[in-house]
Amino acid sequence: MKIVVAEDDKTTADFIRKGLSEQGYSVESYSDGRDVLSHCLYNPFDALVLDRMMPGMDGLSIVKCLRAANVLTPVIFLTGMASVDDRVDGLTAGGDDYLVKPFHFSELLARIKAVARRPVQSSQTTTLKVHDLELDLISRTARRNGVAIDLLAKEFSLLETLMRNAGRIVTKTMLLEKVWDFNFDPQSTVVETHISRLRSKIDKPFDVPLLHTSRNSGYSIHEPR
Amino acid sequence: MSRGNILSGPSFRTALLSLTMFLMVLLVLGSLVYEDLNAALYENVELRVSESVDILSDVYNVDGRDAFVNTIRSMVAIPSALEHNAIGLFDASGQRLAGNIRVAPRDLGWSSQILDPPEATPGGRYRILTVGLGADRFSFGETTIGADRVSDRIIWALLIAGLVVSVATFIVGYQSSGTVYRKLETIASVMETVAAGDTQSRLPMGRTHDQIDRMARQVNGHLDLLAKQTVTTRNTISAIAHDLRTPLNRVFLRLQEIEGAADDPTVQDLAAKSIAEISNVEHVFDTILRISRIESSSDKDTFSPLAIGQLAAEMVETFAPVVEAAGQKLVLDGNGPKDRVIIGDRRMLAQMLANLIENASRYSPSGSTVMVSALDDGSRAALRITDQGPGIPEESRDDVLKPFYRLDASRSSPGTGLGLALVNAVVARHGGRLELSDNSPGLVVTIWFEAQAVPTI
Repeated sequence: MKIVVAEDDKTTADFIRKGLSEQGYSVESYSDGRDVLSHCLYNPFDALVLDRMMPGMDGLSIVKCLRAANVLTPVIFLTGMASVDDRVDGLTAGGDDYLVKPFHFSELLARIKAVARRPVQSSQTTTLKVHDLELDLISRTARRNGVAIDLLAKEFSLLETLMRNAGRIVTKTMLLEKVWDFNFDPQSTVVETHISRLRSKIDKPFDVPLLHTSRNSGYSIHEPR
Repeated sequence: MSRGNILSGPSFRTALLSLTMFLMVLLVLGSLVYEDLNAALYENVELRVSESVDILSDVYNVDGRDAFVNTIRSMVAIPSALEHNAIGLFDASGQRLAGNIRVAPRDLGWSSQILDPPEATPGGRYRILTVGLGADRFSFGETTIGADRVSDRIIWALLIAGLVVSVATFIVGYQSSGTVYRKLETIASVMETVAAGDTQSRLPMGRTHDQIDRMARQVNGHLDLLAKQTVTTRNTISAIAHDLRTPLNRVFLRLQEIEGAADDPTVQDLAAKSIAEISNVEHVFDTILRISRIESSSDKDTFSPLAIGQLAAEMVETFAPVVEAAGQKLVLDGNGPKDRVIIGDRRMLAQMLANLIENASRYSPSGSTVMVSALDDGSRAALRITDQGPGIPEESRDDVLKPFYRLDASRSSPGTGLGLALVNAVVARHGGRLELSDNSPGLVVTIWFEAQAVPTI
């Protein structure tokens, strides 16, 4: 997979490039906004990691240009700004995700995998299935091995998010954003507690565990290996 | 505005002092005038009495004693002859020989006596001159009623003048003191709001150019300077946090590289711990900048209608297991309004509630209950969190809202001291009011939202 990294801070750019290379991605990096734009307009790539503030051309403008030129490849914004409204601006301009510095590399990796997923999930999907666990998105019910599982609203959303990203790591921050619509990090163990409750409902009574915790990274749900 | 405060005002006191001086002067001058006039009027009477005494004495001297006695008797017999006058002839022993004066004046010369009708008309005070005629004593007098009346009138006039001036002075003094008091009260309340953090508050400028208005102008100048400095300080704090983040980010990245590159698990562990510490610092910076952004912005682009009852319920559902794991219970007040809607930023309010719930859990004892409620008092909506912890003493309730303030002076308890500062910023951004009160035991935090005309969902 080809990732374009647009970052003018050398330390950050090197760090990302090194990390992604180790994960098997091929990386092109640029430090000037205009160079990024011209590369992305004329060369194929799988995902763009883009700093909001770039010399030459700022991140928002670059994305708007790309979208206007019908380049729909996923874009993840990086930003050092703390504004709670910047995320909305970034997503409105056409970005797919938004990450605040400093970030754990595992966070960036998880998000790249999430936005660059193939095949793209249709919004007409009505059920999700992993092994013998089934989620009915219309009736908002869950069954495993035919047995109905009673889930609270947030537990269902949590399971749904994990299953839409089946096989991939979903980080705590991603869950806080998608399931709870929080743009802050509660200092308490909200996600951990809900994951453990979910686990006791969908895994413990059954034979094979499907919900996994990846230390320091996040959570995932996948077929038994 | 209590009456006592107005009466103690300097304007009132000055008025009172002027009045006292005026009354004293009035008293002194009035007495002098009264005495002078009285003397003059009495002089008039005495003049006439002297003349009459001379004329009548001649009768005694010319016609003799008996003729005189008869003259007097006939005068007494005709009331109209003796109107306004008193007359009397007394022998050496003081026995009355004729006349309407009952008691012989003791000495020769002038004296005053009260005579009543029917002997003397009119009744009242008479000024009497007594002279010796042979061995007898002759007394003649005139009523001083005219003079007395004039004198009385003068006293009344002085009293009324004094009273009117007193009342007028009281009124003027009271009004003036009241005006000054109101001005000073306004100044005091503006200074209070400024002390509480509102740097935009200014003193109202009166239309007169009295000393208070001039002072107000000066104070406003100082408040402008203070506001500028506060902005500079805030900007400085943000600037510091902002500038420190870049090197902090780099350290964060390097530590991750170390963690990834190290083979030795001890090194990995140390790197992981360092990363966690840096994350804590990063969290503090993020909160500082967040507070700064919330405070300095006032655009409502991210605001939309939201049902507070629903928000409260969702937050309780989210945090109940967390609070339970900490040994307490988190419950939702089921009596809250189901449809009450306010205009706000849901994410900001969620963070605010999360802070308050986490605070409540952190400081509450095992087994206690934390309650979240949505309220509607008829005009305003509110969110409330109550706990059964140690509460916040009344004298600290303003201080705890300041960034980094800790009730525990040793700063050893967990937390950054920024939680309530963030809550305060969110409340202010929503135009609401934060109220801290006692749950006996425990703390009640109420966030009042301003009355908004929003239709229920």
